Amino acid sequence: MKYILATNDKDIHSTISPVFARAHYFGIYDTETKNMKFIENKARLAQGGAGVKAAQFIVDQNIDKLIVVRLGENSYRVLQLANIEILQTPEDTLENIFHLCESNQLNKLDCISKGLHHHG
Amino acid sequence: MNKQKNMTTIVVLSGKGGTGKTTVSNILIDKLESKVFLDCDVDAPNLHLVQNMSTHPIEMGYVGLSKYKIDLNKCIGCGLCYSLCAYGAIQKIDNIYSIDTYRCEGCSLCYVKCPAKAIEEVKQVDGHTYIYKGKSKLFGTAQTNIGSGNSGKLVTEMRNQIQSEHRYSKFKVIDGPPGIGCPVIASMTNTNYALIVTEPSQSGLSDLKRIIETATLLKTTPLVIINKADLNIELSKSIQKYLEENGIVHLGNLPYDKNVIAKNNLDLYDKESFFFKKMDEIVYALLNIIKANKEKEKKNESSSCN
Amino acid sequence: MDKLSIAFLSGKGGTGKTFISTNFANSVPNASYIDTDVEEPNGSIFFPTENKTTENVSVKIPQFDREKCTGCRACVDFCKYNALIFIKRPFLVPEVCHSCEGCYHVCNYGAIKLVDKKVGEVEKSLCRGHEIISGKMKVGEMSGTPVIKCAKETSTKDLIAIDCPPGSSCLVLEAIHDVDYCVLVVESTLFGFHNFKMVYNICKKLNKPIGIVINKYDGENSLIKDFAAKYNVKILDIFPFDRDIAEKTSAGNLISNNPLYASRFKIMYKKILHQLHLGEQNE
Repeated sequence: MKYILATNDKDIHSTISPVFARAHYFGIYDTETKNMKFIENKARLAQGGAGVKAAQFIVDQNIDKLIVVRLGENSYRVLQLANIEILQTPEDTLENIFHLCESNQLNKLDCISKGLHHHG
Repeated sequence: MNKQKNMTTIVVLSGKGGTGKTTVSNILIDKLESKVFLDCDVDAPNLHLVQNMSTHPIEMGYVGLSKYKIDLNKCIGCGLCYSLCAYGAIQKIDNIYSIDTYRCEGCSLCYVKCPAKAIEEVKQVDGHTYIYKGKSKLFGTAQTNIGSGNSGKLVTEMRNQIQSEHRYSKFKVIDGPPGIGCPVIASMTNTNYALIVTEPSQSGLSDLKRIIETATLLKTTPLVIINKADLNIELSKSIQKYLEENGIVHLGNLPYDKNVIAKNNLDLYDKESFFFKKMDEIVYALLNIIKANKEKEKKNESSSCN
Repeated sequence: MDKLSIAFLSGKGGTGKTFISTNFANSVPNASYIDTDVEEPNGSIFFPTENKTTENVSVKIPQFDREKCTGCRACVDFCKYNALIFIKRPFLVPEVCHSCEGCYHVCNYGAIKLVDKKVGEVEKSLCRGHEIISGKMKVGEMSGTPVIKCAKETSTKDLIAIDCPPGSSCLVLEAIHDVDYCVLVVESTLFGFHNFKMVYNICKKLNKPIGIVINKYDGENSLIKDFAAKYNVKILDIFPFDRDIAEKTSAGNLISNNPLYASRFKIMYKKILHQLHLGEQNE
């Protein structure tokens, strides 16, 4: 099972980024290999449509589930279209969040937030 | 982190310009003892003129989408860019092509399609943010450069910078921009209340309706103040009626006060004036509404949807 | 006579751009009044009108032909606004599309067609020989510039008074794009003066001839007058702080319906013509 989430540090002990589209990195965790990989988030510097670009990046990875603290409308629509499963977590360290995932303690995302900028 | 959730954010808007946003924001910041406040009217900021911050601001340039420029040494005059530009940004004068920077929206089509590779990318500083970090107060303002189409982005950038300071204030006040466009939307998202300052004029009423529509779309509670209400009592009454019929809270009325309009600076106002007494009543009403809503929220706290 | 277009702008909102521009258009013969404050148009309210026509303003957005699409993603990679996504095939995110039509041109397989999307309206009506034109943007739309462009193109008169949006954004620049003269309407307050300097610099940068109208003058604050004297800028008129004018205007009345005020605006027009070294037509 592969999970992906947004983070601002390349460290499993750091906290998840509360903002999805403009975080510095995406972290991918593989439950089989127990390995963590960090990739720079190019959408961070996008002029407009950062949520769209970040979501497109997620779609292009071969992952099973996305974990977020909250999610904006643009990202949500793209991910929905691609049938990506989205789980919601409180702000916590990456390590703790993956524990919660593996023990199925995280719920599906149930609401979208209006982001800090609605238009691109 | 948890304390941030107890902050109440109030954005002061108007729809139509010149109704008294900055004047009201300025007084509100004082009366609510707000420690974190922002001027989101990035095209024409005014709040910094009357907020006396003792520190120098941290200034940051905001780089927007690049624009494009034609290198005449490489241009072969084929006119392809001229025929492609959807914004009419490419000009042809005496058979020489050039790009109007103000009209260019940075789509890069000309750059991509030019057969002679004669078009170059030019980085643009769209505006600047100014963050004043005082001992007790945190103030953010920004200014767009001429012709910027990115006011909304600059508002977002400035709000992000303020938020990343993680400063706590019971009330956060945002002096909003006029209109209903991008910068208004960027200043309205993630706020609790939109204090709409309107005036009794035909134009004021039609603009009021549009701004209420925008607030509702963004799930911010609109509260309306009618400023200069005595200028047209009939119209003020019909605005009140409109608000009542549509279930929008009418916070109160303010009188047309020549001194308040002329002076701008809080220290020069006559605090015994009728205007100020009315302002007191409005703040009192505002605080009651906030308190009542908080109590309602506590009762409803079963689903954690924030 | 050649077309003459005069823009009324202010930087700060509520200084009286609409008050001055509506009364100006009302006082000179055969003029168009164009309200380009497309987010909050409110000038046409002052004119009792007839024969109202409404024209839709549209921009182009892409539509994809699934059969012709090869999935090369050239369109997605091109889009600077991140308005295109690819999930087995391309999709448009209309909220962030800037209608540059670039994806259409970049597709090598003819798989993209451009279709219309309505972004606003332009209303035109007549009032006593004047054309009253108003551009209005749809709430939540990306850009108002196409609506402003269309509103300006709708005029058939030789004398055009353009009521500009507040501020100094791309909307204002579109409104004053090819005007012959800029009237800066200023309030003599601290806020007013600060924002005046902003638009003054814009007009200077664009080499526009400038004149100032001081509005709501309290007889004390001389910031603007001093500036005008120092930089040799013409003051066209000064309107004092007048509660009577304020009340009449808030009730939707044009003070220039009173011949005394109308002649003031006619004099303003003459001064502008003089500054531009133009003779007056229609005398």
